[in-house]
Amino acid sequence: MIHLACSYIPYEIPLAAGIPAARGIFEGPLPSMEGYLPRDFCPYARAFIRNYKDDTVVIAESCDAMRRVYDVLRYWNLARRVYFVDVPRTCNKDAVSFYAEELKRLAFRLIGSQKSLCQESKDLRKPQGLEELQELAELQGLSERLMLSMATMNEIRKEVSQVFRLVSKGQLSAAKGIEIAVGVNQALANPGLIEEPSAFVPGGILTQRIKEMTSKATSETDPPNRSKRRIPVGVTGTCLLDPSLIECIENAGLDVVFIDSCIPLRTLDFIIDIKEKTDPFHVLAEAYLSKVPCPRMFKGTARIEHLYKLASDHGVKGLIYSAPKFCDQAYYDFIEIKHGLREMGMGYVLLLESDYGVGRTGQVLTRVEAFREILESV
Amino acid sequence: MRTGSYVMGIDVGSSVTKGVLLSDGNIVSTFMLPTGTELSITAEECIEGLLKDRGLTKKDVLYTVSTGYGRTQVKEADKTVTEITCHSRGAKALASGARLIIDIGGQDSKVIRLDEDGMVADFVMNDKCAAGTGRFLEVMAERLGVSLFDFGRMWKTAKRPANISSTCTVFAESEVISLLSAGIALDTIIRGLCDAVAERLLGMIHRVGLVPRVVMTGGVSKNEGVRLSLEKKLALKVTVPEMSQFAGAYGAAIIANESAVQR
Amino acid sequence: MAKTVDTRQSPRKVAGETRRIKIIRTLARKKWVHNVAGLVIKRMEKRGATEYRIAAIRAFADDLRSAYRKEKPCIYTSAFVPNELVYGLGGVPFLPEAASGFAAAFGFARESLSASESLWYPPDLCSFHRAGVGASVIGLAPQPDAVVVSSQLCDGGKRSLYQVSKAFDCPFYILDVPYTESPESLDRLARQIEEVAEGLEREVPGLSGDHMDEAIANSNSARSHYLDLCDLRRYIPSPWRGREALNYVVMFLWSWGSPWLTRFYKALKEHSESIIQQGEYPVKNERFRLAWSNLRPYYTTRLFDYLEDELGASIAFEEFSYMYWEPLDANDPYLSLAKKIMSNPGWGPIERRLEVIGKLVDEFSIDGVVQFAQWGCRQYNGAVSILSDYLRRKGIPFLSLAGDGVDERNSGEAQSLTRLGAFLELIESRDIRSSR
Repeated sequence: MIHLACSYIPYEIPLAAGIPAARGIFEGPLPSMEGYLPRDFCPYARAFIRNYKDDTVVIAESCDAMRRVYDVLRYWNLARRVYFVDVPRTCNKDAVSFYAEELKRLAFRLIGSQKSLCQESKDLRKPQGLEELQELAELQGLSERLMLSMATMNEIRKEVSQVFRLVSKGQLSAAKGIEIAVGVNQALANPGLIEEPSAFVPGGILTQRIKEMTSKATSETDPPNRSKRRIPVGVTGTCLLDPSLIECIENAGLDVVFIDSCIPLRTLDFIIDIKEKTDPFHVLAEAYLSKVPCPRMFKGTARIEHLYKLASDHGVKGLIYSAPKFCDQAYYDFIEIKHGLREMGMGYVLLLESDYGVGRTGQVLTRVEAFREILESV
Repeated sequence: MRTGSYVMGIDVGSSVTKGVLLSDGNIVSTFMLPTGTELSITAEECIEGLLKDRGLTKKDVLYTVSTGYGRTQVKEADKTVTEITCHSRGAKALASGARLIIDIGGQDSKVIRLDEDGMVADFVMNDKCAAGTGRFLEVMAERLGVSLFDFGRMWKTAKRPANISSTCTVFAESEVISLLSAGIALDTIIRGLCDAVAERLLGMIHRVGLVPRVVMTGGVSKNEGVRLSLEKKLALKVTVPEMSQFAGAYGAAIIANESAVQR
Repeated sequence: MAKTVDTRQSPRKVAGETRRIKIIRTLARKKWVHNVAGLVIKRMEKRGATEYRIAAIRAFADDLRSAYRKEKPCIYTSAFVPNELVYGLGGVPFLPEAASGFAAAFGFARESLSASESLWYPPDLCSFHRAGVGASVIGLAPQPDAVVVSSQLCDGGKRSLYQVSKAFDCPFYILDVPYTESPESLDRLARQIEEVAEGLEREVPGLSGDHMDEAIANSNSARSHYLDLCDLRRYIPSPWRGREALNYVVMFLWSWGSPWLTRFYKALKEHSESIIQQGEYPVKNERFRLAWSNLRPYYTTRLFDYLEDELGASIAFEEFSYMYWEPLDANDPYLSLAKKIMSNPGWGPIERRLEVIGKLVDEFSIDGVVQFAQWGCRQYNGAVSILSDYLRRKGIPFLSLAGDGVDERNSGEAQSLTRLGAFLELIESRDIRSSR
């Protein structure tokens, strides 16, 4: 099993290699693991620290906090293998080629680790016999498998975006949408599914199961019982820690019509343009670096334009920014968005500092309700 | 069956619960008591206190709005509204033309900016810790053996403020101790404390945007020292209405009045 | 002045623009003020002020004059951008993160922090970045013509300067430093440095790469004097006060490539030599030798009097003063600057940093390591558990000292003094035990 730490690490690679892999999603830090990182530290990073034993963890160069997670997991031997993916912050030609190489290295290593060719490699750059691994990857037809797994992931991502279309129409609660996306993430880590020979093939067993799951989940749920459409708001931020905040917003009488966050969505709401006869790693690198930007990226005005478009397409009256406590990326991003959107004529942005279970606290409910009262009055 | 023309606003704060009773839009009774551990019981006592004063019963109350951190615990409430909205409604009614409301309660502080129509345009809240709140001032006053009511008088006698950088209760307490042991006069220290609280509010004030008329509400508004420090730092007059502590409850009652009419 | 924010919706005013700030920012841009400053420095020199101090003051006075008076383009850089690049292009660098330390030392931190708070920068962010942004937007700092950041070491550095570039509407460049060293990461970084240099030449009038050779040579010659100084600092007792060394970390962050850094380090080296010769050490009765990690509080504090004078503890060396790069190659400046950046031990897996700290402990005969746990510093504070374990295995006591280098409100001085005292008692009792 592979635990992924960032939305820039493609699911496609483990899927093509037949290894179950999922984004780490947690309910909070484990009390037994509290000593490894300070308490005034990103809650997601703190929750990520656990004993992965024989599993593999892939960390990306996301932010200060995740770089420290990379160190802690290795230093204290909390996982058999800890790999690091150096994600560029820009998306020019150089960055794409660099990232393609980075992904190739990751793929070789994952295949090697599966065949136990890679020992407990703590050193990122010097695994045993990279050439050997490359040969093995070629033998296994990795390129072809990757092309297919991209198409499969496209099918899955389309499925997820269908779900969120229902959310934006008010036919499904956002909290339910998140639950479904989390379910998809879990399916990708289900060994019974992923190790099936046809799992990575479009229309194969994985896609079928996910389609069944989402249609069951969406049909089982009654549309939110609302006499009338309520005030629509969007939620953005770096990383939504858990659904409690979304539930709190919905309970406070607002409709969440879009969620722009790395968990669970920024990983699942884009489609890769699969160009045949191109190096699949290059295609992957380009697709992931040019997807909806995370606040850690430096892509000029791309992020604010994306948010402005989301907000105007969905006709939201306000935006709620969820910043995990002590997340510098979120704080700086919020400042840019608060000022930027105001210049674009969209004035109502609420900052909520979040932690696991924050939606169940009175302080947050008060802020959200006060925000609703403001939106009601305009 | 409820009849009568009375409406009520109940503000269950973290340290004090306040109530305001209106009739035809006019205040006919107010009541306050310390918030106990059982919020619903405190709210009940507050309601009783309000009504008993006028020889009324719950049946005489047409509509009740609750607010404050314990707003959901008020059984009699027909509606709950946040303290942000209630404080701004109350402050606007207590001081016409109010545009910026600074509310410092027992355990949190908030700054609310109103637009030209008196609607809430933006707000910030600080409720992470007791830094710079009523509780902070209480602890410091206790440490110095001074009554909170004397802060204003002592502020005026101080020639300058002592330099106190922290509003963290723990840090400030040790700063105060070392100032005392260095023989710094009590009034100088008190003015320093008031300055520290005001300094902490400045950031919040500028975040939402400073616009006169500035009105202070909440328990700490009764602390003249804090008001004086704030006025000096803002170079603006800060209004403290006579019933500033009741602003939240009064705002709730005004909303109750409107809702009763709509009903 | 910075274009701060739109005023349509809220009558926004940036806090912190007090009267004294307005006066200071006007004066900083007046020619006569700089002339007077020049005279004052000359006078100080005549009166026998220490040479290295004069060298540093004169250097900053010159650079700040060029920046405030717009005699040369002013390029804001984040802490680990190789400023050889800026000097090589004929500009003057300005480091808001380091300037925050100056703001705290000269008593302007409060205004700078208030300004940033009014622009929604939450107090949980590192105050070096908050004050840097604040000082820029209220005009306490010179106006930038361009901003260059590197992605190392922390996220706040690059993000805060990005905001500054937006506030001033000036060109922004990022060196996206790869996290792990490999031939392709070096190439990618070298190409980026070259692109930034080309971009600056193109976008900022007055910049050209004609001085690059000179800047590289300056950097190398300063480096060799600096290494001599480091050797002298191994001497027991310490020839230089740690509190001062922590102040002059600013030179180490700011001035590589400048014409005057060689002069400064040479003078400091000679000063240290004469201290050793004369045997007049700044910390009387040195009983403990500490290594200090991260920065220090730059406002007035009793911390160092207590440490150095009362407890007899020298800060023998600082992690930030560690020389980590090889001499630069003028024939391939971009690649060698890329190598310099990539050799930063604070970047990449933690083992790189541990190795350096281990080396410092051995080479400087260190009794204990203090890491100043700057509030909001994810980079260093996140590594405390590892560092303390590593040092424990090495048998070296470690203290993580919570505080804030710029924002006094986050510091409890009394608590810090107690912690330091207890830490030294611990070292002492250990020494007594081991000597038995």
